[in-house]
Amino acid sequence: VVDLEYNFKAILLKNAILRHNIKGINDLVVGTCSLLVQYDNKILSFDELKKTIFRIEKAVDYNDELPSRIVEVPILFDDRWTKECALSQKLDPDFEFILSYNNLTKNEFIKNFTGTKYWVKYVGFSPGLIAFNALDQTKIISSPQLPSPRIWTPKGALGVGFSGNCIYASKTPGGIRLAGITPILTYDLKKQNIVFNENPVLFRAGDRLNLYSIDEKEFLQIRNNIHEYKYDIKESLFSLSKLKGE
Amino acid sequence: MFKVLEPGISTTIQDLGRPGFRSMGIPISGAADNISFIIGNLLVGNKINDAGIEVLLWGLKLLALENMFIAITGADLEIRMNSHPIELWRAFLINKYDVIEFLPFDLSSKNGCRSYICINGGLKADMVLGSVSTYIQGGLGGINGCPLEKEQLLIKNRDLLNFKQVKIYDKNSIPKFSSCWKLRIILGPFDNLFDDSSLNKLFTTKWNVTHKISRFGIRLSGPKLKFKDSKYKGKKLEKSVDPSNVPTLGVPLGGIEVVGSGEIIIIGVDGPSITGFSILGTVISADIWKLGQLKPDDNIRFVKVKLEMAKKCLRQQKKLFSKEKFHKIPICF
Repeated sequence: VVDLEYNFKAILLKNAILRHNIKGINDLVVGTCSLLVQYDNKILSFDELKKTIFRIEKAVDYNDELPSRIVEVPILFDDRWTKECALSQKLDPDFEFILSYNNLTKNEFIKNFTGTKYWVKYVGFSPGLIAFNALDQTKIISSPQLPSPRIWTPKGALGVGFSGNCIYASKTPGGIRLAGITPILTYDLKKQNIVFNENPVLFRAGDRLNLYSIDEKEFLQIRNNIHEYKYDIKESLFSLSKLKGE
Repeated sequence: MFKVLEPGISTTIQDLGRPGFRSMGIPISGAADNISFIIGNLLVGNKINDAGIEVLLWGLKLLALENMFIAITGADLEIRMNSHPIELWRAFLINKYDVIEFLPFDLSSKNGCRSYICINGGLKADMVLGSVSTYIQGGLGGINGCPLEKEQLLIKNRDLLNFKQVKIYDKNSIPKFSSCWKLRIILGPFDNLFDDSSLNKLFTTKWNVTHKISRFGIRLSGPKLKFKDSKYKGKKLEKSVDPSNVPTLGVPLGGIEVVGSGEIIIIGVDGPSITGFSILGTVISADIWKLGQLKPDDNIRFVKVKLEMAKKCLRQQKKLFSKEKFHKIPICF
C-alpha cells in the first residue's frame, strides 16, 4: 500500500514554491514522496535556495486544500489493441494474468477497478505518462511487473502495477501489465483537441481520475473523432483529510 | 542550404535544449556535448542557442547547395570535405556543391563520438516548447521529430552575414577528448543505502562503458555495488523488495542510478524525468558534455567533489566561451 500523504504534501509544497515565483528555479518534479527542485546556480546559490525553500515549507499549511481536478477517463478493458501488442511480442495476455492473480472474474475486476477515484501521483518518466493510485483502499488491485519489459506499448494503454497504475501517453517500452486502453489522447503536440492548446500534457500531479468502462464501438467513436471529443474536466479542491478518509 | 545525401547513424538537429518541462516528463534534450556545440556556434558568429547538426560517428553525407560559413567541432571523426580531411574548431567557407562526409572507422581508434556542424545563420526546424532540439522518442523538434532522412533539405534560419574575417578557436583551450574520462560527481541522495566498501569501489574502479549507450542513458559495467540491509523505520524489509528500488522520484540530467543488478546507469540528455532506482549521485554540470562523447569500451573514473567545487568548475568552463579564445584571421579566398 502506497502512502499518498507525502505525495499530497509534495504537490502542496510545489504549488507554494510556484506561487513565490522564485527566479532561478527551473523545474519542480513531483515524485511519489519527493520533490526534485532544479535550479540555475548562476542566478540562485544553493544556500539561498535551501533557505528559501525551508522558509516556504515552514509556512505551508498541510491542511490546506489543493486544486485537484476531476477528469473522466473512458477505458475499454480487455481490448484487442493491448492483446495484439502482447501477441506480437510473444507475451501472454496480461488481462487474464491480472484476473487470476487477483482471483477475480472480468466483471468483478471492472466493477472493482472503476469503483474508486484515482489520485495522480506524478507525471513523468516519458512525456505525459501518469502514475495513479486508488483512493479507496478497499478497491486496490495490483499486479507484479513483467519479468522483462515490452519493447513497445500502445498509446493510451492502462497499466496495473504493483504499487500503482499508469496510462501510457505514447508508444513507449514498458514493464507494467496492461488491462485496457483509453481512446482519449493524454499527450499531444499537434493540438488535435483544444484541450492541448496551452499544454501538450493532459494530466497533472494531484488530478483525480474517474475511470469508466466503455465498449469497442464507443472506443472507436471517441478515437476517430478526437478533435471534437469534449474532455470532461471539473475544477475542484481536495484536502489531506479527504485523501485519508475517502 | 544542405541536401542530405546519406543520413548517417543518427544525425539530429539540436540546440541547447528545452529546460523546464521535466515535470511533464519531457527531457531537456539538446546537444549532448553542449561545450563543443556552443564553441561551434560562436565560431560562425551565431548565438549559442542557434540550431546546428549533431553527428554520431559515421555515415552522414551532406551536399552544400549554396556558399556558407560553417564550423565543425566536437569529436575528431573521419570527416572529409570533397575527400580531403578538414580542420576542426575553426570557421571556414564551404562552397556550393562541396560534399561533407563522415567515413567509417575503428571505434577504438578515436576519442569521442559526436561532432557538431554549426552553420552561420543557424538551421530552420520545428520549434516545440521553446526549442528545436530533436527528441526522437517523443517525436519533438528537428524536422517532424525525427533524425535526418535521405534527400531532406536543411535550410538556414537567417541569411549569411558578410564575413571579413573568420574565427579560429584557441588550440590550447580545445576540450580534452579521451577514452578514459574523469567524471566529477556530487554524492546523494541515496548514498546512505550503500555499504562503505561499495562507496569506496565507486571511486577506485575504472568503470567500463557498455554497448548500452544512447542519448537516453549510459550503462556501465564494473563491480556490483552492494546495498546495506534494507530497513524501513527499523524494520527489515521483505526479501521480495529489490533493495535498489526506492519510491519513484525525479531524477536530474547526469543522475547516477544503481539498478537491481548492481550496474550503474547515467541519465543522458534524452533520459527519463522519473526513476524508481536509487540515485547514488549526479555528474556536475561542467562535466555533462563528456556524457555526449562517451562511447562503448571507454573507461570512466568517478571523482567526488563538493558543491562549491562544482560551481567553480562551471565558472571556469564559461571562460572557454570568452572573446580572447577566438582568434580572428582575415579571409583569403
